[in-house]
Amino acid sequence: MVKFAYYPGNVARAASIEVEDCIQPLCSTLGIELIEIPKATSDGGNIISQASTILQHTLVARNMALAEEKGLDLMTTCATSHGIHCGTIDVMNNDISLKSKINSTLSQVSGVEFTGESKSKHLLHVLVEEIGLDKIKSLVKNPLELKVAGYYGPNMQKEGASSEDQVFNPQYLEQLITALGGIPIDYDLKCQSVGAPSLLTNQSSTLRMTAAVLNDAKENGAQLMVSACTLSHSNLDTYQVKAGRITGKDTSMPVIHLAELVAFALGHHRDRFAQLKTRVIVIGS
Amino acid sequence: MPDSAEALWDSINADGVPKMEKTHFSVCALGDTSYEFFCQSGKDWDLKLEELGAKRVFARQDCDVDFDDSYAAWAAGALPAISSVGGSVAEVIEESTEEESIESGSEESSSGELDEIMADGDRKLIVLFGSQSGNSEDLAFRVKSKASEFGLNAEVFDMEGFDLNSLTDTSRLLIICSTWGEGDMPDSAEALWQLANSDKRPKLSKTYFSVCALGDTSYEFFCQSGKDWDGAIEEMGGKRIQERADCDVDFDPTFQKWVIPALAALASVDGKGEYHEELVQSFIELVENKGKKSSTGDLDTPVILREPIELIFKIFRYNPLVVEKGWDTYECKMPGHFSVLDALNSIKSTFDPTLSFRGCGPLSGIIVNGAVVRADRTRLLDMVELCGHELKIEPLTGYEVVKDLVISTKNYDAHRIKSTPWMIPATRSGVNTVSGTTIGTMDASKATELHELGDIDSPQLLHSFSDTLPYDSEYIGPALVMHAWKRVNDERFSEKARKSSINLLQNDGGAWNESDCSSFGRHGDFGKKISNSFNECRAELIRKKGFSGKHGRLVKWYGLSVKWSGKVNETTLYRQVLGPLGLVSNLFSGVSMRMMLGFTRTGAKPFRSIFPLIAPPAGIGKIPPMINSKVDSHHEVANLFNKLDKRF
Repeated sequence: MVKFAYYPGNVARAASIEVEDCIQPLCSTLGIELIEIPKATSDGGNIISQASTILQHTLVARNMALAEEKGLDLMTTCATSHGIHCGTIDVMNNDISLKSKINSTLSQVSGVEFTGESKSKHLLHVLVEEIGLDKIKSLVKNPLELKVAGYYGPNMQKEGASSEDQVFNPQYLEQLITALGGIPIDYDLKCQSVGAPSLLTNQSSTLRMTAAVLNDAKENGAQLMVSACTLSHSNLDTYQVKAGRITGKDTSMPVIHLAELVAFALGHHRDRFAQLKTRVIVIGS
Repeated sequence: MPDSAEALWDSINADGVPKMEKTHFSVCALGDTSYEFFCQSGKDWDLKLEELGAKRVFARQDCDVDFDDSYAAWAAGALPAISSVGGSVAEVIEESTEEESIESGSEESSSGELDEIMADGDRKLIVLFGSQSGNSEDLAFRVKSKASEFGLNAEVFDMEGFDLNSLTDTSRLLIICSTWGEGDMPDSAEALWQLANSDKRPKLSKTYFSVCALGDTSYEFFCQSGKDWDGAIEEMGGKRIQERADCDVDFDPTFQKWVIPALAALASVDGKGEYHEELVQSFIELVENKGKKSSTGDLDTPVILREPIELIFKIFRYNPLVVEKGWDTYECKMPGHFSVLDALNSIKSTFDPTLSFRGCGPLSGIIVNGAVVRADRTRLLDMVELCGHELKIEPLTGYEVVKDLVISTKNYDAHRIKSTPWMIPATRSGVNTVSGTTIGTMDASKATELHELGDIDSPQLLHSFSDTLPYDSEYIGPALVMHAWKRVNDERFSEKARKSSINLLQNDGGAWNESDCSSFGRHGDFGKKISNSFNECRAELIRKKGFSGKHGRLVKWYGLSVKWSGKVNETTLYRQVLGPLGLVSNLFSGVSMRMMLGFTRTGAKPFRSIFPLIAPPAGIGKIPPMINSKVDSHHEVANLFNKLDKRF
């Protein structure tokens, strides 16, 4: 049994509630114990940093310190959150004066300090590196049997956040899809941003970026897209009709989150998986 | 101990200090013999390091108040010994001793005289250049760096604006001058040449000189300018100490043959202006021996070789004549030390002469497996380590492709022109330097910060870092945003120019058009630095204009919703940022419907709580609830915001 402090990200318990529905049973099957941090807050979503970088770093450091207090690494299902955590850890490791300032604030406000002992981990990296593809493969009850395009996004594809996977040509999602009985689809834009932080402000370019990713995957034969990022998932799924209308591109494709994909293959929510397959095979979007 | 060394001395004397067996050292101790504990601190360090297991490569030198000679003797022994560390220390010391004993035998007689002349008063050498394309200037500075080996203090001057009369007291002069057109002087040398041919020209009876002339044998008046200066200096009374060198287009071999004897001869002129011809050969030997001892001369470039590696290149091709694009694949074996540009050149010469790409320079940028790199500065071996043996090579994104890997920077240049990138200086106070030049003043930390902001190898490559750029033709791109941001921070620019930069960043096409700064982080430390700078820039824009506009509102309400509950409230963001019209647009564009019907796509629950039954549509399908519950100990979050940023 491996144990992590669990950070659901900014939307897994709001607009992307299906992630929350799936993460608990999948972790239970794979022997991952998730410990809640009821005091944890939003990580600032790279939005608060546009007004105050130190405020965002302090929010993240507080969450990390709360995990550290429990002697655990922090696991998240959101690539954006993981990228933000790694960014703050990187800054605190390299800027002693900022680290001391942040810790001084945390100490006064919450009575905790972040030493850097706890690390941030993304669900994908935990599955591939700590649980192992062989074990996952052996537990598959409903093989995917679909052509699946993996979407990484830009946040965890940077040095220090991509774990042992390659920064520029990551392969973990493809390996996982294969282990779950699916056929991975390779396409160019799997790490390109879909502009999630600017969905409400730069909608025109954001929708073009979203359409390009969906269309690239679709043209390469994908029937389904799986996102490692909860935030980007929202663009790719909810806004795909609007993105298709603006660009004139074919963007219709079911998009689900990594936690759903794994949970379905491991035999959880059979009804949901059946419904998804129906949409993929019969309706196509 | 000096105050600054006290803490380190205490720490090295504390318990549990690690052993230093892998460390090699030598100590130069500074002190004053009029005190009882002469050089005690240095002696202490010497003993302590030995106690900790470090290996002494050269004996300690104790220096008195007048430390120059003792220090030089120590540096001459300690530096070669420490630089040779890698093999056995004993070997290093033995070898150096052996070398010294051999050399001392052969050079003993002349070295004393050389030392004497090198320490004899004035050792100034004037290097005067007249340059049209920069070659003469480059050679002048190479002469300067070489001159120090002969114990000469070289000063380099452009002929433009040079005071010819200042040469009257000069005993050593080198002239390097190129020829332009039909035997003409370079533009920068013309005025000085007129003066040298007028009645006002000075007498140069104390001056020893030599000339290096640059030219092109395909012209009739080959090296004419250099020849003219050679004659003119002699007419003014100068004594030619080394025959003129006439260099062709490939000037390096002739220059190399000239520079050593010329410097050796001028080094043999003593402080009183007397020429000691018998020392010239000794100077040449001294410098040649130094060259043999050091690993490379200042003009050599070392080459690091790597084993050949098997590679598969998948290269993007575009033919503008038939408007056809596709990919070509080549399997080859190439040396690991090849740059990507070397590889492209090799493919072009071996397989396909029609393959097009740019050569050296900031525009040689391409994308290799998603990484934005300069083809001329990126080794194949490094790319293989980064992304495997299959290299997919594409043109830079954000530009129009002209052919294959060649891009047009037309749009980038058009945005750049619009951004008025030239300097409009502010009126500033300055200080006078010793030489009488007036310079501006800037705080050192501010200057460093500015330098770091502008430390961009290729703006054209940075332009391609953005994932947004290919989808937003209005956006000026990260390179121009960073350029404008640097200008905002640069107090040397006028207030008006800085305001104009703020407007450029704030308006459509500026800093807010970047949809996702985190995509820069993919490009290593430099990308992370750009991402941070974007945040600083946007924070400044918000400080100037407040939380106004869509971008300002997003930041404000995101922050407020986190402060109020510890969580992001998405419905608040939609309502505050998009406003009623935006929400209606989402209703008709299918966004709201798709959120509500989320359960029909993945089988999720249609109603999340009792709330949507009372106040729909929030809570139906994937539409998030309107009100968040608070995180535990929420007062800590509110305190944290109040402490760090009271605007929220």
